[in-house]
Amino acid sequence: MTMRRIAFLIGILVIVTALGMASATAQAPGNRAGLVVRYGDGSHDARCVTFSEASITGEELLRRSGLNAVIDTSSGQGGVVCSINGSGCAFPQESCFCQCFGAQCEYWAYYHWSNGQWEYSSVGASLYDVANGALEGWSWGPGNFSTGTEPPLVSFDQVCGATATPTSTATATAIWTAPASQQSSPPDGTFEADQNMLNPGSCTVLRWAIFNATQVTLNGTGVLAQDRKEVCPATTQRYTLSATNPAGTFTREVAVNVTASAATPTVTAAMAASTRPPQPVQSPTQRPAQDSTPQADTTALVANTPALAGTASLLGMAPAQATLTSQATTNPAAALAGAIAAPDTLAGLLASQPTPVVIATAEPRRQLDTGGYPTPTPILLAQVVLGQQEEGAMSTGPRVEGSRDGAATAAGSYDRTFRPGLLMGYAAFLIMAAILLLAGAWAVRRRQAASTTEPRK
Amino acid sequence: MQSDDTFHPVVWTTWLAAAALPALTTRNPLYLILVLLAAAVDFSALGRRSPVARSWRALVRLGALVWLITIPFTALTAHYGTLVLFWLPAAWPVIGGPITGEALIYGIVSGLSLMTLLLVFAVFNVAVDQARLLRMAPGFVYQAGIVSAIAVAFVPQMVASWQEIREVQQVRGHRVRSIRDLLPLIMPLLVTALERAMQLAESMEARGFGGHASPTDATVQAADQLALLGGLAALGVGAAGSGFWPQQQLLNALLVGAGALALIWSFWDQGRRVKRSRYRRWAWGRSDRVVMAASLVAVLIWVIAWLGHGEWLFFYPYPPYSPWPAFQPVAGLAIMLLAIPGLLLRPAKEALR
Repeated sequence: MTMRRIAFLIGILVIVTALGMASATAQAPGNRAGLVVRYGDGSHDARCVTFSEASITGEELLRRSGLNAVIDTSSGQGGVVCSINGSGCAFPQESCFCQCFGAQCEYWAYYHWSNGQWEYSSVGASLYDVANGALEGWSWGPGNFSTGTEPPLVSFDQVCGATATPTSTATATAIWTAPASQQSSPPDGTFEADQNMLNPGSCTVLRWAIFNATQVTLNGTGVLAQDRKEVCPATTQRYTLSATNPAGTFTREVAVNVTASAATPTVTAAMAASTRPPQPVQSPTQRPAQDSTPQADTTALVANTPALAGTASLLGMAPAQATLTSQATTNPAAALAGAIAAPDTLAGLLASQPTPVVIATAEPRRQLDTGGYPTPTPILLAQVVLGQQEEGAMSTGPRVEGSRDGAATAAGSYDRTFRPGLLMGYAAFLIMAAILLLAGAWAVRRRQAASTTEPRK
Repeated sequence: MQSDDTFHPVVWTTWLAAAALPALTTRNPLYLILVLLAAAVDFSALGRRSPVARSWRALVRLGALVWLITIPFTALTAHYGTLVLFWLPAAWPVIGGPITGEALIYGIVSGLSLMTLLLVFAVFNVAVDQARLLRMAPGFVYQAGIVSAIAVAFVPQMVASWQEIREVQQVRGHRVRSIRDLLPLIMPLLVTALERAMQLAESMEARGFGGHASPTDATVQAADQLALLGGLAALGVGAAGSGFWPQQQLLNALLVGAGALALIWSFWDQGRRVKRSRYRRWAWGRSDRVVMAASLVAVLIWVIAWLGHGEWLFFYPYPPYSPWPAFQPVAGLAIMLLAIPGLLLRPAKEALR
């Protein structure tokens, strides 16, 4: 009976192994999966990973993407992502869920792209199988056990390219959301600030969710369709969100009143991003996009770079620069129209505010190269790596500068190889361990000697 | 009472704190190995002196076995890291994929820290028996002390009387065929166990264990109990509040502080009224003082290293951190102080020979 049972078990084991071998051999060499990562400050990365297996786990996909992920495997039930490229929790110096305070929690949420939208993953990354053509998303933001902050809306083709020809150089593609089937109606959505009245020096968060748009700009800077941004205006500031698609334009304005304590208001750059120096233009090869898929050949593109300061402000628009823009010339008018169409906030603001309303441009304007054209669509950070390596390390090209504010420090600075400087410590350790071993042997011998010589009582 | 084969319970408690602190605060295998060796020196010097000590020896052996099992388990299931040792076919469930050196190191280290803690507590339990520990209980918990002494003695006594009763009933021809036949075994078991426990409690009371609370008026007692309740509530709300309302740090800190103060006052006031008598007092010998000083120095060095130089103790093999542990001789010297009890202990009479 027992022999038969053992034989049965062995048979099952053999069958399982054979099936596994069969599926392992039936693998395609060029499977690809996309990975979209949204960091805490709103910037993004997108990677395309090539793998030879039939499927890999979500954790493996993240590992092969070349992003510097810190994963806590100590739970024994699969890995938990603590930080990606330095954004997140510095495990294990601090807890892997260091931003979780009871009800409110910020963590790396895991998403799968299915049926044209992001779907919160119900299983951990190490249990989820990523097959060819899958698009996986990681997003740092507030959430709870069943929801998180959604990654940017992209499609697989935008991350991995429509054609399957792998290129040797890393190419960059702007992430943009343009579901072509939904563009029969103008865009729609919401745009609001958490607080409309601020004290000087305090901050608030702008939140927006725009649907059905091909292009969304906040004060002229290209932004994601659904995102949030912390602003710390020194003076009263208006923020204009403008969304367009071929069917129309959507504009919404939010005023953040700063209670003026100083007599002379000073014009300061309002957006937090503008404290950074303007990024130099990397190459003059940016062309006006002719179709809905913008392209750029630069190896590294910078998120939040004012590729175009078109609708930067209502009043401070320079006409000369406005004429340079090809497509965006419609946007100031649209913004004005939106402001007129929604006069309640504007008029209320003007009436209630005794100090002069100062409207600053969101970003310092970029000097255009001679002969260069601004890209009509804002460029967001994207770095698509179509690797030639079969699997394993997908070393990326030049590191995307400015994509993570100071995040590169934590990740890459550890030396993982053996250093000769460690040898002194190891020698000291060996000496100490030898002393302790000798002491232990001496204690045992003394005890044995005492127990044999001492007379029994 | 001065003992030549062990130290004062306070000394051993300090040693326990000094030895458990490194084992709990670092994952660096080099420090853990040193703590393990130092505790092993003390453990071998103590020898087997009681049935408790013998059972701890078996427990340590079991811990080593569990450690050996966890190493391949962690190494085979955590497919993370860059030092790939070999690949298993990806189709194999759970264990398929790259087997990494980092996972192997992590398995060794996590088992090592558990093993170290186990050995440290084994040394403490062999060195200090429960009756001596009970003497150290502060006055206001004298009732809790007696209750815990009864509880600790209850299970071993019950096992012993279970075996006795079974033998007696077997001699009478009793055989267990169904659940109903267990009744003649269980009833005398309960009765004798309770009787023995009551006897123990009474004899402990007679021998001066515990104490006697001097009577007070009802208002003071009510104030004590109110302070205990209110203090616990404030402590709980403050601790929960630091998680749920992180922006109200000041209020949370005030609540925790007020709760702790109320509890301390309540305990102090209750302990003040308890008069205790001691049968035989412990005298502090020279080696007691030496071990106490060594343990305190070890705690001090370790706390300074822990709070001031966290990177000394930090170790995590997975990327992006280095799999090579660093070693600071100063912290190692602090650990070596933990072996001093093993060198100073005079060999004891072996209890079980």
